Amino acid sequence: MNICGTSTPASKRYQRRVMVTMSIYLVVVLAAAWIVKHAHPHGWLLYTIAVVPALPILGMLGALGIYLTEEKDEYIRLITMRSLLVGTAVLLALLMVNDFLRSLSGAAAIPPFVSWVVFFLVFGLAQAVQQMRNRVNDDA
Amino acid sequence: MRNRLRELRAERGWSQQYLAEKLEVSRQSVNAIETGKFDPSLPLAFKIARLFGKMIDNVFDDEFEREA
Repeated sequence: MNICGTSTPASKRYQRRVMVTMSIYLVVVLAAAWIVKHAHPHGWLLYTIAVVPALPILGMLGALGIYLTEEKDEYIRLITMRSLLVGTAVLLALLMVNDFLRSLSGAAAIPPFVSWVVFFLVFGLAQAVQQMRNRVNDDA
Repeated sequence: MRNRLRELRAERGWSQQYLAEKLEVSRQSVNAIETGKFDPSLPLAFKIARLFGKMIDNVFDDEFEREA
């Protein structure tokens, strides 16, 4: 993912970190699914195996945090932070509405992992919108 | 905050990309400052003023002061 469509030294480092965490995630999630299916662990071991695939994903959040501290371009940093706020706000709104729907009307819970996808989609969309609003002319 | 960045850049015949490289920021940043969508931090504002050999208040103009 190219942060804000502009390649800065910090965004290149961020991309490398995301590639590493995503690679680890793929290996870990496949391994965890295989172990749960074939070894049938239970108790604390099952809980541990279930949590392990989340760690590389949490690492992506950490990579975003590191990126924000490393990014020297203050405008790029600002639009990244704005986009993170938009993503967080939309996710919280979605979860809150779903909580009320579940509590008062017996609606189903949001399926697993959808909230994470929503967050990153809105984050990316918010970045794209800000980029479009600040389009640069080629002759400038 | 208003600024004369585009005007000063045009006087020198510099492109946004060239100015961005001089300032060590992205071209998006230069464009956002020129169009008034983004006010730079004080260190960046000083850097811009120094690059053009101007005082900071010759480059950036606070609208409140202009109206007063």
